[in-house]
Amino acid sequence: MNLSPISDRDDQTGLLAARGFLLIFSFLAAGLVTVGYLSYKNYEQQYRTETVHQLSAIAELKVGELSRYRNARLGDGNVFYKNPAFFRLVHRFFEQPADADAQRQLLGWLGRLSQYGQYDRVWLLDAQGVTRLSVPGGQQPSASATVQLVSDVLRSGRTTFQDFYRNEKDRRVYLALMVPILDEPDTNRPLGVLVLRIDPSAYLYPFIQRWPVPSETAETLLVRREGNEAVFLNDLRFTTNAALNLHISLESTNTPAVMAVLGTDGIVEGRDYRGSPVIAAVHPIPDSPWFMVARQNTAEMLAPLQARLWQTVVVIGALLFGTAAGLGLIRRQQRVQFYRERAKSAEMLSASEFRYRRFFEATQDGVLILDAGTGMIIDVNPFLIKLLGYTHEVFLGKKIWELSFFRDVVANQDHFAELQQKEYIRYEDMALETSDGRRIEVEFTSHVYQVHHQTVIQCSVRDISARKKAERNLNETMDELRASNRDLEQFAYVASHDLQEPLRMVSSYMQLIDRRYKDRLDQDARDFIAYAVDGAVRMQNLIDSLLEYSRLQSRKKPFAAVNLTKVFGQALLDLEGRILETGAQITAGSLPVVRGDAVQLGRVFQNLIGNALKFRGEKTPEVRVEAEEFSTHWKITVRDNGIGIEPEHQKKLFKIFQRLHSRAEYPGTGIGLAVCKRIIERHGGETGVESVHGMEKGVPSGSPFRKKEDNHGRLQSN
Amino acid sequence: MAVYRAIEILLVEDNPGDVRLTQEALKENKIRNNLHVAKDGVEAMKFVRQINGFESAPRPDLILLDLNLPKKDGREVLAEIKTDEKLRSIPVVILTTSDAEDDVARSYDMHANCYVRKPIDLNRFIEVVKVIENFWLSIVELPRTENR
Repeated sequence: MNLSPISDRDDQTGLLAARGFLLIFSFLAAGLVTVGYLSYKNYEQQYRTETVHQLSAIAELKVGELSRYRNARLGDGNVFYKNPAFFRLVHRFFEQPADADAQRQLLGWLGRLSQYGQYDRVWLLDAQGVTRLSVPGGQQPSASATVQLVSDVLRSGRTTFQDFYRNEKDRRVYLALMVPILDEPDTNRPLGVLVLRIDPSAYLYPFIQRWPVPSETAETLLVRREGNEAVFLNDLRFTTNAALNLHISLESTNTPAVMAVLGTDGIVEGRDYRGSPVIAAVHPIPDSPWFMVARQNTAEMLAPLQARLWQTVVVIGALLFGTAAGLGLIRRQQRVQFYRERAKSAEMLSASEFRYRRFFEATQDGVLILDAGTGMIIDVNPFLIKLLGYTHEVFLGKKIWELSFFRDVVANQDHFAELQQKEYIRYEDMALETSDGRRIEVEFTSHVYQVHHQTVIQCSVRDISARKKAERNLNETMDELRASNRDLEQFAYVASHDLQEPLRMVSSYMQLIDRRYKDRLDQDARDFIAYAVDGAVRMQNLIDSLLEYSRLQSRKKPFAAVNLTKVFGQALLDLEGRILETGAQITAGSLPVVRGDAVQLGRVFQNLIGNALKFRGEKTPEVRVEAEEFSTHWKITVRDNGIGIEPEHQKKLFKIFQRLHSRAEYPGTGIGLAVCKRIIERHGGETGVESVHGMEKGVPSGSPFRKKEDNHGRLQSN
Repeated sequence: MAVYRAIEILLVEDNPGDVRLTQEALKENKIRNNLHVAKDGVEAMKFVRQINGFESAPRPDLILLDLNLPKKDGREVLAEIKTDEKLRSIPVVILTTSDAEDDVARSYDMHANCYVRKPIDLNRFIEVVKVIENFWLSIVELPRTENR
């Protein structure tokens, strides 16, 4: 049988520990991931806000700049609009084209404009749209759109901004400001039109395209609405020749440019003209058909976010790894400790198993191990095999109820069920049959317990034949003793009756002879008769004493509290006659209450005091009764001033029928002190005698009583 | 002094020595008596009930009863007499060898009128018999006188 249930249970413990660690790790991991996630989310939000803010700031800056640019250009126009001096000069020049001075003055005006750098060309057109003057010089054909617009301006008399347009002659994009030349009082009749053409590539385009921070994808662009399309007004970073050529249908509402022209003002996300995901700030530019789109690829814009995400993931990952490693290390440490302890306990267990095995093999009880489920015998110890005289093979592989010699204990499966159900069973007075047909008496006990997930029943078989035999012997002896006691009682009774009758015959008829034939008898005959009668009388006294002695046992009463002072008083009453006769002084100290038989204790006092009166010598008797307390008992002393007892005689003193004096001196049978001794012994005490010679001659008789509270248990067994 | 008829005494005693001793003791007394002897309890009961050969037996004035008897012992005899309406008025004196307390107590329980231990000294025995007679006289005097 294997008593080392180490692996399974301990593996389970290990598994539990591992689960614990996993749990701790899960908590820590969840915490870390949450912290990482929140930190990232926080950063993302902050970053997005910042980025969008930056984008907006750039966009707004540019919007403001463009707005100011337009206003500056209109301001330029206003210099000439309804300017009487300029009007007169133009009028003079138109009237007299040959007026060199006027021409020179006009060229001065226009040249300053051109020089100022904002206008690549300035024309002066007359009311028929014919170019009259151009700075710089030389013929430069106007775009058809310009020509068209000139007539509108001439008609309306208002300064007009010609938006981005393409000059079909040189394929370039321009803007133009057209200022009607009006004399203030006569507003309806423009003299001509001043056309200030702007080449956006000189200033506007670079300005628009400029991005304050380095960026791979960021760009600013202008769009305007043309029918159902949004038209890009400047050249773009990622497509060539886009200005005025790139149109996007307004249906592509996903495109920031479209959103802008449709009235959105703010930050949008969408896809740009290339289809790339972008984030854009879109704003209308006040007093213009333009819309500003400042956009950047989402990917680029969020790249730092991506980086941050990765960074966070890496940090959290590292922390998780660190945590796992730390926990793993602790776990490993624990496992090492665990295995160390396990190894130690395995060693101890192995020692324990060795001890168990030794015990199993050496014990002087038969041991049988059963499988609790099936009743199959798993193991049997050598003692049981030897005790019953069967071989090992008889037991193994059998079910317990299949062993015929166990039938008194486990006759069948139902009996076995009882063993299974009760954790502990003890049968006494069972008999087992040995191989040679003897029946031995055994005590059978069974315990149910678990070993290695297997429930077993351990049955112990103890050979109690010897004990049983001893018990029987003891019972027989007790019975004999009881019978003997009964016989003794019977004997005492018979003695008192039947032995006395012949005695009475002897003495009575002797006396009758003496009475009737006195005259015919001589003195000798009468003496002989007297001796015979005296012998018979003494015989009767002896028989009476013997009877009394034997009755100490048969007439005993159960113990109760006895007040020795009362007992003492009663004894004095019983002895009253002799006390008066002798004039004795009998006193007592303080006497205790003890447990005992009041009648018998009274007898002790009566006998001891009676003895003192009897063996009184010459003096008037003085008797003193005293009690002395000890831890477990009382010592009661009856001290007198009588004749005393020589030390060499003291041993005989308490023996039955022992006398120290002749009957002539002191009559009696010698039963008194023997009775006292027997009574005191029955009370668990001792009797003794001390002689004190000297000042006071006395015969103290010690009779220690057990204390009232102490002697209860002891005396019950008497 | 009043003249009495002889007292009819039944002595129930199996020991001839005791019977004779009783007779001798009675001889020494002045009161006339007829002593009848029954040797066992069965005979004693026949006598007191005047049956089976004792039809002509007189009704005893006094029964001296030994306790240890053959066949039916004194205790049974006492019990029968004291439970019989006709017989219970007969005084019964228990004569016994022992002063065993059990015997004494039981005898009185069964309404024995007197209990006397047979003394070993003849002179004391004679005194005892005298005491018994006096005892009887104290009991019987008045009723007997009336009857006359």
